[in-house]
Amino acid sequence: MVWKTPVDLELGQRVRWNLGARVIWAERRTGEWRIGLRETGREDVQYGSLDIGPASDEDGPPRLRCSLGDASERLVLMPRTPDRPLVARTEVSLLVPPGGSTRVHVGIPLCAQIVANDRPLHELPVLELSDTWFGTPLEGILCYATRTHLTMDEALLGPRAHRALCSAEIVNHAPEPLVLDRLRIPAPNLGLWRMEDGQLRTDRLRLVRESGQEDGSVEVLDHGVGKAERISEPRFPVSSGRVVRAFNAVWKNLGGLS
Amino acid sequence: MNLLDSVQLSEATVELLGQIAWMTLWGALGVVFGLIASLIVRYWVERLAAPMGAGRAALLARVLAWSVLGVVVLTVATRLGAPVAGFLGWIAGAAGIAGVALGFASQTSAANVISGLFLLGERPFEEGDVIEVDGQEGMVLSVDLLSVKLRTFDNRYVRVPNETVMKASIINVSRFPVRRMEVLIRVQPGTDLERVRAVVQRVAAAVNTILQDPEPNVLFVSVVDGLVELKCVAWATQDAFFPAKATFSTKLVEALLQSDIPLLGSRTEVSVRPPNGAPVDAPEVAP
Repeated sequence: MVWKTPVDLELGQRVRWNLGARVIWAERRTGEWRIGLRETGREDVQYGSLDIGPASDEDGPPRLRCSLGDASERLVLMPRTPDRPLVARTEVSLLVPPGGSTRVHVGIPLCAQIVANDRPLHELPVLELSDTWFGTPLEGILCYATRTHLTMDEALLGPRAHRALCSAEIVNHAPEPLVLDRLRIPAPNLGLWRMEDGQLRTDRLRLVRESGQEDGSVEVLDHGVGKAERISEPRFPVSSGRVVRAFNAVWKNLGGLS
Repeated sequence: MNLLDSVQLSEATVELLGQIAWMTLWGALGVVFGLIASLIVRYWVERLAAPMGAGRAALLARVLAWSVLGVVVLTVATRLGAPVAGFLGWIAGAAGIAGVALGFASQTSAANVISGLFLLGERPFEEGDVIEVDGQEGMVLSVDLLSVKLRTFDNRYVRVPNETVMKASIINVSRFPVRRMEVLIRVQPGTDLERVRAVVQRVAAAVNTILQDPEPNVLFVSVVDGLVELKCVAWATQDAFFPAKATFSTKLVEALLQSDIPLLGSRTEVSVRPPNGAPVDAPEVAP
């Protein structure tokens, strides 16, 4: 297992976490950690792996040196959700009739946080994500675009080392149909769970559109599937009631740009 | 007698000197008080008016501080028995004559000040915004009483008089959070525009700071010199705009050429034929 597995290194040793598209490495030196990454171009790695060995030029030059006062030797790689919301598109517009509901799934690319003796050293995205805009030319929010479309078939999103699975239930209580083109997922508000098979899942979302309400309310629930271990807390925990009403126009296609 | 007269004269002189000293002391105290009051006014106005923007707050604070200093100095002068009213009357009278001369001399400055006040009210831009005005593009450093100061992207300092700013069209480039970049290209007639669009979208997808939504696109502009002019557009946030545009335009040109979509300049065909219809050989040009 790659995530949250403690690794003890001798001086001069290097740990490599293979997360599919990227291999992230950390090397212990006297009084410092050197951190780097190597692009592999492979996104089909299911669970990832880690190995410990001597330094190698193949890994490329370090990106960062972290100076530590103490002689820490234990490292842990922690998964984190991205630091911005994600916008996921449907392949074809999805219509939720009045009074209807549906469940959609999407892969959430992860960030990897290197922690030494409970102190975060550095954070790297496992996949470079493209920026996207959710809103109008006058106002909106900068988000990341997901690599995968929203899908109703969870089996299409097999386990991958670089992502976690996010499920969202969409409920339409409005008298008019809801046409879903894209969905803004509040990734920084989601925690992560490790399932028994090693796959990561985020907290579940429940998005409800009430009658006469343009915006929707978003509720953050736990993973809701079988036995799981809480592996990472959200960057910005949702406050009391666990209902977020600030996500205006979570599904509205505001358009207006060319 | 002479000695006594001399002593009496000295007493009068002493009294006069005492009065002058007393007036000087109180005058100096008044000026000091005025300066302190104006500094306090400036300090608080700058803070209270901060929501208006730092530049505007500073300008307002300066104007009010000078006003306070003027009022305090005039008040002190009146208290000391100075003929302030007469002086002001003289000023008003002289203004009639001097005003004409001064009016001609300070016409431009007055216009700039008035334009500056209008700019403060209308607020078409703020410090830190990137604007285009009067042929200059740059970041606004300050909006002052007489002029707007810009820093151009090649790091030049430009002073644009407020009157010019008021008269000219102002483009505030950074008012909105996202901005569209455009790359103009010319292709041969008959080029598959869907292919061009696919290349544009592929290139844009490879530049992380280009927004996937709004979608990058290709717009038809016109036919120029027998060539089709197209506008390849993509969006980025203001922060990422310039690096994203540089990468996008470079990679786009490379990708279009790799996709066998030639990029052309202007094409002018000149056909010269003699009256008998035989083509004319091109004249040799000396190197």
